[in-house]
Amino acid sequence: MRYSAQKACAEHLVDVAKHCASAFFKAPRITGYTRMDAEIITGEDLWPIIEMLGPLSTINSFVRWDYETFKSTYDAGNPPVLLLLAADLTRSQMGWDCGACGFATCKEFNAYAARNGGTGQLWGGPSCNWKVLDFGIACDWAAAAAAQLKVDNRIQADSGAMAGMLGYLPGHSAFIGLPLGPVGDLVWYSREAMHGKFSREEAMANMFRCCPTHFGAFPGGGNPLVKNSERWWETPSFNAAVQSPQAMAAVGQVMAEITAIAGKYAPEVARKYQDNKVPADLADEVR
Amino acid sequence: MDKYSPFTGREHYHEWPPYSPSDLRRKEAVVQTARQMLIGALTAPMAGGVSQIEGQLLYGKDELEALARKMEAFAYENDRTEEIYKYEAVMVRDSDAVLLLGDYRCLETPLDVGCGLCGGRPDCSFFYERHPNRFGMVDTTDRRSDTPIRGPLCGARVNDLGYAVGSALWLASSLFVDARPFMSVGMAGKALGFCPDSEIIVGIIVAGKAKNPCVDIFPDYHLFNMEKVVDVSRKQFITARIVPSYDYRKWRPQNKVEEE
Repeated sequence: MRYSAQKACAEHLVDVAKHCASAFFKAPRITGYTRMDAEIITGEDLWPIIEMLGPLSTINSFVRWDYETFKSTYDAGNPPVLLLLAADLTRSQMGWDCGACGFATCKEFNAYAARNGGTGQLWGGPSCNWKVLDFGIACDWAAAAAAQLKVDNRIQADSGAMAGMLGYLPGHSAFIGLPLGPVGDLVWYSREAMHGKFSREEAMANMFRCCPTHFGAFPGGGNPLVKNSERWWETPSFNAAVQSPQAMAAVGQVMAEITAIAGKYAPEVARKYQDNKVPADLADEVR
Repeated sequence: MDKYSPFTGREHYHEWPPYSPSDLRRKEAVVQTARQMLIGALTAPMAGGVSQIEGQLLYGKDELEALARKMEAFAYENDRTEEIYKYEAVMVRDSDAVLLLGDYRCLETPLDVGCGLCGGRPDCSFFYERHPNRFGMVDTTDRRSDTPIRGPLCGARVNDLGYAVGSALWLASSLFVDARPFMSVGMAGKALGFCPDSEIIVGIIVAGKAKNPCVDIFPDYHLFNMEKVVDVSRKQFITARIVPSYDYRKWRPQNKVEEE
C-alpha cells in the first residue's frame, strides 16, 4: 500500500483540529463559568467565509492578507481546516466586583449588558474581562496544540467574525478562527500566497499612512515637510487630518455587501442548528 | 587545568521538609520553569504582534507569605469572594513560585480597532467616554478608584493577556509542572504594586510537588490544609507524648500478657 503524504496530511488536518479543540476545552479557566464551544469547518463549507472576507479585504490590509491566503489555497484544492472557537462573555456569574468592565459591581454590569448589548466590528459586548481572559487562554491552547503538532496556523479575528455573522455557533458573543494548514512551512506567515499581489509602492503607501512621523522632516518649525518622494523638497507636502466621506461610504458599501453575502448563506447555516438549544446557563448571573 | 575538569556534583532532591536544602533545589528547578513560562507569555500570539506584557516572579517564603496575607485581607471585603481568597491564599503558601502577568496597554494604549468587546459598539467610544483623554491619549495619572481595577479596559488587550497566560500555562503543562491562573492572586499582586504598569494582572501559581496545590480542595480549606494539619499534629503529639511519662533507661511498658 502506498499513500500520497500530501493527501494523507490534508486528511490529517481534521484530526489536528480535533486535537486543538480538545486543548481548547481542556485549557485552564480563571472563572470556571465561561461557556465555550467550537466547530470544525472544512472544504466547501469554507467558501461563504472566504466570500465574505473578499469585500472586507478591499478596505482592510490584514483581512486582505488572510483573504488571499484562504482563497489561493482553496482555489488550489488544498485549503486549511478552520477551527472555529466561540464563547459567550456577556454576563458575569461571579460577583467579583473588580471594576475591569467599567462598572462598580457585576450586578450593574449585568443590568447594563442586558439593556445595551450590541455588536462591534468583530464581536459582541460588553464583556466580563475575566471571561475574556478565559477565552484568550483557551484559544491560545488551541493554537499551541497545533504548533506542537507542527501544523502552521494563525489566530484570526476576521474569519471568526465572518463565521459568527453567518450564524455559526449561535448564542456566543466572541468568535476566533484558527486555520490549520495546509501543511508546509510558513503558510500564514511570510505569505507566499501574496507574492506578485502587491507592489513596493503599495507597501510604502501603507507605511506612509500608518506611520506618518517616520517620514517627517525637521519638526522644529511646527509644520514639518513630509518626505513623500526621493526629491521631497521639490514638492513641499504637509500632513493633515481630513474627514473622508468617500472612505466612510466605501466602508458602508462593504458592510452592505458582507451583510448580503451573509444573508445568502445564513438560512443554510441556521438549519445546522435548528435542533440545537442554546444553553440557558445565565440563570445564576448576578442580578 | 581544563576549566571543566572539576565538573562534578551531587544534588539530592526531596520535597519534605519544606524549605530544606533538598527542597530548595527542587524549588529552584520550578523557578527556572517559571522563568521559561514568562518567555512563553512574551512569545504568545497577540494582536499586531505588539509587546504589551510585563511579568513579575515571586518565590521564597517571605514573598509568598506577603502575597497570601494580602489575599486574606481581601477575603473580608466581599462576601462572594471570601472563600476564594482564603482558599487560594493557602495554595500560594503551598506553591513554589507565583508568576504575575499583566497587560500594560489595556488602559493606557488600547488597540483602537472597534472590536466591540468592551461595550458592544463598532467603535471605541465605550472606552474613551469613560476615561480622561486628550486626542485619544489616555491620562492614567489619577490612580484613585472605587474599584480594584479602573475599567473599562480594552477588551482586545485583555484578550491578548489571556493568550500570554495561556502560553505560560501550556509551557508548564508540557514540562509536567503544575500551574493554574487566578484572579485573586493577580488582584493581591496588583495591590502590592507588582507589574506596576498593568491595570489587570493574572496570578499563576506554579508548583512541582507530588500533589498539585490548586486542585482537589477540601471544604474550609483555609482551616484544613497540609500546613495546618502538620502544625496541629505537632501540637497534639507533643502533648500526647508527655503525659504517659517514664524513664526509658530503667523500664519499658509491657503488654498485659507479658506481665502475667
